[in-house]
Amino acid sequence: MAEEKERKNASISGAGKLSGGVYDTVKVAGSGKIEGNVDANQISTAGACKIEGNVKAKRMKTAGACKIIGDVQVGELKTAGSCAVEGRVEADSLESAGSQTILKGVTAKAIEIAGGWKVGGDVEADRFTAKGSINISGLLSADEVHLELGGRSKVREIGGGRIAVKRSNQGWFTFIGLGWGSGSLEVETIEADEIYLEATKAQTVRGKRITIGEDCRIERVEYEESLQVDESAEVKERVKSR
Amino acid sequence: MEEELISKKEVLERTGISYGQFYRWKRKGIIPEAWFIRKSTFTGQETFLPKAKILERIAKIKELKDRYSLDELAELFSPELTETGFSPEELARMDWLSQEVKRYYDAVRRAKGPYSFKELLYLAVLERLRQKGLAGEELELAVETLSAHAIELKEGELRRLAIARKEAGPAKPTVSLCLIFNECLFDPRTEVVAQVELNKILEELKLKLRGVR
Repeated sequence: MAEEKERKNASISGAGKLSGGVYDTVKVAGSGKIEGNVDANQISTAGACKIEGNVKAKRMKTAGACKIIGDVQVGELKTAGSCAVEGRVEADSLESAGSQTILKGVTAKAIEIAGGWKVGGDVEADRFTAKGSINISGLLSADEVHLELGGRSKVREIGGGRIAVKRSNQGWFTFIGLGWGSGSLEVETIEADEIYLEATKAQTVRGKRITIGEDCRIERVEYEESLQVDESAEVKERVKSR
Repeated sequence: MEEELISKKEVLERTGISYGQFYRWKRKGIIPEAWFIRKSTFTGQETFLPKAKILERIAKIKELKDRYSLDELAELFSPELTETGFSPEELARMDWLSQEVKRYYDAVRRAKGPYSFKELLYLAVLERLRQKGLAGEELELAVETLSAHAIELKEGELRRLAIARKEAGPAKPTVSLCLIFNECLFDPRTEVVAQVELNKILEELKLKLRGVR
């Protein structure tokens, strides 16, 4: 594009404001506010930052508190600390350490979460890995889902190729008091070719090869090839289909 | 007319595809979001889909998936008219397009220069109507109808075009109508002479163009 040459750098250190626009790099250190839509190759913020508009960037990194009043479209998004997005997020890769809230759904190739994660709407990814406590109001769909539960998690539906839900094997989350016990998951429906579950409460679990591990409470399991149930788990109904 | 539904589970059983494939295709948008209907059943919430549409779509995906990437398939099934213009020379090389249809179209065409993708879709629709035996006045009627309205095709929504005839009077035994609709019931004295599904013609056109371009 023509504007490609005109991209400039912008930075805020201390407290300041920046108007939206097209930039090469945007740096915020301290407390900053960006008014309007931003399009940048690189955005990095440390401290407190509020962006009042949509964000388009190749790479975006935030540390501290960041709030975005709009949609985010990035190649690589890394947030540490707390990050809240009021719109939807589209990314190649998304990483969060700390807490992240996204109000209107996420689409990404790879998602890696550590800590607390809350999404309104659906989450779509090729690979999804989370350690901590997640809360998704819609469908979580991915080829591979790895959930390591620390604290209470709740997802409406999970679907994909392979889904593994395990309790956190580190006492870390319990130690810092994120939730109770070593984690649990509550979900309406899980559907996948291969399913492994621990500490999960579900209405329906459907799949080809299913393992219901420790401390699960499942209303109905429908399986095609194999089903294994741990003795500490409770499965009310088992149906073999096909 | 109530559409017959099928549960997601039954779709998988019937087609033999895996959960992984199903969800991947959904994520890519080649199974449209609009087809998913959540309903309460005695076993809790279940997802249903329009039976004829989903079974046909999956058969198509299975047939094409070795030749095209999922992204290409997504483009193929998308109702969006994405391609750019076509020069008259390019049009002349399209062997599926008859001279007759092109003549009819050019006679009412207001634009000059390259043909847009939408125009190419119109031509494909007309070609299909011609193959169904339409000619003369009725083909002209279809050209006029298509070019008079901005036709938007939406994901998961089937649009049809029909030519119908109705008895008129002794001087002129029948009058012809051209209609574009999603669903339409006709009075018993109206005869539908030809009906085509616009979304399907678009899909086929995109496939044909992959061979040409």
